[in-house]
Amino acid sequence: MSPEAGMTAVAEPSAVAEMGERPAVKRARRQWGLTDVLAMSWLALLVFGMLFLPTLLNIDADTMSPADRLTGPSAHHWLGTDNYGRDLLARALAGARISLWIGFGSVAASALVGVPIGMLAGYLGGWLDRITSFVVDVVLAFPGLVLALALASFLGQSITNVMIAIAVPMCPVFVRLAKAQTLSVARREYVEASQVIGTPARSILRRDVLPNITEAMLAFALVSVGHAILIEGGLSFLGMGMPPTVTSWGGMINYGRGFISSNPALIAVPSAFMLLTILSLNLLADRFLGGRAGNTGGGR
Amino acid sequence: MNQAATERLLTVRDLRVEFPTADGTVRAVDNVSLDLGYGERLGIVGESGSGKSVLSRTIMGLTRSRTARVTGEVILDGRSVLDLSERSRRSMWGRDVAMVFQDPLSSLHPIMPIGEQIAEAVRRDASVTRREAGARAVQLLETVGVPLAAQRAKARAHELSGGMRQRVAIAMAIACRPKLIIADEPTTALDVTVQARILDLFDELCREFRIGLVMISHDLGVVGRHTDRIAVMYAGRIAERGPVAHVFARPAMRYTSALMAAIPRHDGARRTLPRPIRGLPPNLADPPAGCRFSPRCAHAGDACHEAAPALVEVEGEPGHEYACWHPGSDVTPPGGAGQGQGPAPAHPTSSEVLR
Amino acid sequence: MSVAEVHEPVGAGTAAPVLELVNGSVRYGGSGTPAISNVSLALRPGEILGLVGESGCGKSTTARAMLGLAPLTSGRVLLHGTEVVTNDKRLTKDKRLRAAVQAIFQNPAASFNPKRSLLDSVAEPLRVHGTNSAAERRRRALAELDRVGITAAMASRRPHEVSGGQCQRAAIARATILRPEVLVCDEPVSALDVSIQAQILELLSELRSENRLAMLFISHDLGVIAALCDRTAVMYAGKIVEQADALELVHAPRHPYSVILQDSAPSLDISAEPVTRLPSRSSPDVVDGRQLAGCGFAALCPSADDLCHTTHPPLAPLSQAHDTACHHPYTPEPAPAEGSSRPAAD
Repeated sequence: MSPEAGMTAVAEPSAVAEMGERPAVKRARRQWGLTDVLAMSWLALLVFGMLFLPTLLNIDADTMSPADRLTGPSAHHWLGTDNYGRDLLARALAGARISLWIGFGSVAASALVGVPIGMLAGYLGGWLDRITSFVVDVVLAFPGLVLALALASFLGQSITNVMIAIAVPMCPVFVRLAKAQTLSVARREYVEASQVIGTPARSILRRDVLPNITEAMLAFALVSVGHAILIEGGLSFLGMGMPPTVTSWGGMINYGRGFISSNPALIAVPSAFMLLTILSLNLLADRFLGGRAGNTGGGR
Repeated sequence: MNQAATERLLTVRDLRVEFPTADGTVRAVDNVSLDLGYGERLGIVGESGSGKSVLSRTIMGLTRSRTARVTGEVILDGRSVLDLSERSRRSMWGRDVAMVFQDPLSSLHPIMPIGEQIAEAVRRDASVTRREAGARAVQLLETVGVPLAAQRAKARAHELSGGMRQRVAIAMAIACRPKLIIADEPTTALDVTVQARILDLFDELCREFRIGLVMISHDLGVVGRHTDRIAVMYAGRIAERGPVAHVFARPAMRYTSALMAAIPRHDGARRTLPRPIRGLPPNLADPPAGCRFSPRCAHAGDACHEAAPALVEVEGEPGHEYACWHPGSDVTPPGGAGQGQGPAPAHPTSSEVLR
Repeated sequence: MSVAEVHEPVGAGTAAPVLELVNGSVRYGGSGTPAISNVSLALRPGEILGLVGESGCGKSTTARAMLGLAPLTSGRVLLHGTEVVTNDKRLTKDKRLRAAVQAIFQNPAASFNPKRSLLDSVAEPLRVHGTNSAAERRRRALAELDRVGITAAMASRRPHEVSGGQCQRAAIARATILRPEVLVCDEPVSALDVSIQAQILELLSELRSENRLAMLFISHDLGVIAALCDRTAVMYAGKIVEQADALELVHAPRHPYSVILQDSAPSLDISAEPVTRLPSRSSPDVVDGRQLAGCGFAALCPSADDLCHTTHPPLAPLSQAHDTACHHPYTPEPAPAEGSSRPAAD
C-alpha cells in the first residue's frame, strides 16, 4: 500500500470550548405547545367561572326573570337568557359543576376499582385472570351507553346513580388497560430483579408496577373524563340523567331543542361548553402520553 | 492497491458534525479525514459514542441539516455528498453507496417475499423489467450464498435464519452494484458461528466486485481479519489509523493498546482477566482539554492535558498514524517514548498484547 | 489492579455444590418443544461456571430456572442439597433461595425501576429481608455501592441518568448486599463497551475471591468466558452438549459445536492463519434443533451420520471431568492431544 493510499489528513488540535453542565442522559421533554396552553386555560377559566362568576356578576342559574326572556347577550347576561329569563352563562357554569363532578367522580370510581383488579390479574395470572377476563368480556359486549341507560333507569335519577351508571360500563376498560400495562411492565428486568430479591407480590405491584403504569393510566383517565361527560350529557338529554331540578349540560341541550330555530343559543352555549371541555381533556391526555415517550433509558 | 492514490472512491476532509443539544453543542465527529480506494476495506473501530456511526451516516448523506451542523467535505466517486440536493442524494443511495445495518430483520419488509424486495431494489436502476429483476434477485441470492435461491426467494424474512437474513440484506445492498458499502455493526446481532461466514462474504464481494467497504464495529477482533486498514476512533476523533497488520502489531496511540488489552481473549494459554480502561468515555458536550483520552490514560503527562496531539506517522510504516504525546503499547512499561512527536516505538512492544 | 487473576480451579466434585439444577426441563406456555430439557448444572463455592451458546439456545431459561423464575416442568433445584424449587410452584417463595441466590441481568438500565434512585433499589433487598431501620438500610446500601465504585452522589440518581457500566455496578451491589452464596449472571457484560466490560469482569472476579461466591456466568462471548470461568458448559438447542474445565474446553473441545464455536470466535491474533478444525455448515432456514429426533446439532454438524439423526447422544464423561454429548466427538488429527491446536503465536 502506498503512503498516499493511507489516510493523510491530520486531526487538528483544538481545545473545544463548548461547555455543558451535565454529563447525564438528556431527556427529551416535550415543550408546552399552543394547544396545551389553550386547553389548560379553558379548564382553568371554567373552574374559575364556576367558583366566582355567579357571585361577581350576581347571576344565578335558577332565578327566573320574566322581563328578560330570550334576550341576547347583554352587560348583565353575557350569553343571554332562556325563555324563563334564566341566565345562560350561569346555567352553563352550574352545568359544568355537575359535569366535571360526574366526569371525574365516575372515572375515579371506575379506576379505583378497575386498576387494582387489572394489575392483580396481569401480575398473578391464573384463575383470577381467567375470571376477570370473562367478566370484562361480558360487560364490554354491551354498548356502553345502552348499559348506562339501563342502569340509570333501574337505579333512578340522582347524581350518585348517574355516576354509578357511567362508572360500571367504564370499569372493565380500566381493568383491561391496567392488565395490559402490567403485563408489559412485569416482563421488564427490574421486576424480575425484585422477584429474585424475594420482594412480595404486593410490594412489587406497589413499587415497581404502579409507578410505571401511572402515566399511561392517567392519560387514559383524562380521556375517560371527557367520555363520561359525554355520556352524562347523553343520559340527561334522554331524560334519564339528572333530576330536572339539577342543571346539567345535557338537560340544557334537551330543553333547548324546542328553540333550535328561533333561539339556537340555548343549544349552542351548553354544546360549546361541553365540546371545549372534552377537547381540552383529550389534548392534555395526549400531552401526558407524549411526555412519556421522552423518558427512555440510556445505555446502548 | 498501488493506484489507490489516483483513483479514490471516498475522500472525507476535515469533517465535523455538531449537534446542538440542551447541554451544549455535541461535536460527534471532530475534524475527521479519511480516504478509501476502490475495492478497499476500511474498518472504523470505536466504543459507543465515539462518533463512528455519525461519521458513517454523514458519509451516506443521512445526517439531517435540520438537526446537525456539518462542515468539511465528503467526496464519493467524484461527487460532493454534502452539497447534493435531497433528490440526487436519494438517487445516490443504492447505486453509489449502500448500507447494511446491524439488525437485518428491521431493515427487511416483514411480509413481502425477500425475492420481491431484492427485485424492487434492482428496479431502482430504471431500465430493468420486472421479469429481469426477478431473475436478477435470484442470481443475487446465489451470489450472497443463499442455497436453493429460487425457492428461497419466495420466503419471508422471518422464515429465514439470522445469518440468511443478513445475507438477504447484503443482496439488497449490492443489487444496484454500488461502489461503496457501509456496514454498521453488520454482525453484532449474529451468533459467532454465523458472524464468521458473513464476514467472509464481505471479503468475497469486495474482491470480486471491487466494492469499497467501510465496516463500523466496536470489536477490533471482527475487523482485524476482514479489513485492509483500520481507523480507531475515540470521542469523535481519529486516535490511530493505518494498515491493520501494523496497527495490530505495533499500536502506538495509548488508547488503541488499552483497547486491545481490554478485550477478553479466548485463546490464551492461561486464564487472564482483560485489563480494564479506568473511567468513562468523555461527555462530548464538555470534552476534556488536550487529548481526549488523557483523563483515562495511564501514561498521560502535562502535555496530554493541555494540547491535543496531531496525527503523526510511525517511522518506517507509511500510512500508520497515531495521535499521541506518549506513544507506545500499554503492556510494556513506559520507557523510550519521548515528549512531543517523538519517534514511535522502535520495536514491536505488543507481542504480549497479542499473544 | 489484578492483571492476571489466576484462580485455583475447584476441581469438579471436590466440594459439595451450593446450588444445583437437576434434570431441569422448562416448557413455556404448554408448547410442544421444551426450552431446555434435562439440564443438570452444579455450582460449587467460589467457582465460576460459564454457560455459553448461541442466542435462543436456552441459556437464559436455565438461569431463570435456577433462580426459581421459570416454571420447571420437571426436575428440581437444590440449595445445599435441599429441594427449593420443584415443578409444582411457579415462583418459589422460599426465602432461603432468595437470600442465597442473587442475579444480575444483561441490560443494566432496564434492571432498575426507572422511578426510583439507585440507592433505593440497592437498599430494597434489606427491606425485604427484615432490616427495618431506614437509616441502617441507607448506610449499608451506600457502603455496598462504595465497594463497587459508586459514589453517594451517583447513588441518588435514577438509572437512566448514569452510564451502563455504573448501572451494572449498582446491580452488582444490589445482588451482593445480602451476602449471597450464588450469583447468577445473565450476559452481564454484553451490553457494555469493551473498556467498561473489563471493569465489570474485574469486579466480579474480586467478589468471587473475597466472598467465595459461586457464579453461573452466561455469555455468548467465548473470550469473556475464558477470561473468568473455571468450568464451562456449552449449550445447544436446550441441552448441555459439553462441560469441562474452561481451559481444556478452549484448547481441546470435543463436541463439534464447541469446536466450530472456538474456530469462529474473532481473534486479535491476525498474524497466524485462522485455524479451521471442522468445516461449519449453514442452514438457510430457521432450524430448531429441539425438534429434531436425534442430536440437536445434527442438521448443522459436519460429522453427523444416521445415528446422530435418530438417537440423541447422552451427556457422558469422555475423560475425567470432561463430559460430551456426541456420538462422534472431535479428535485432533495429528493428535497432540494436549495443548492448543492453535500454535502459541508469540
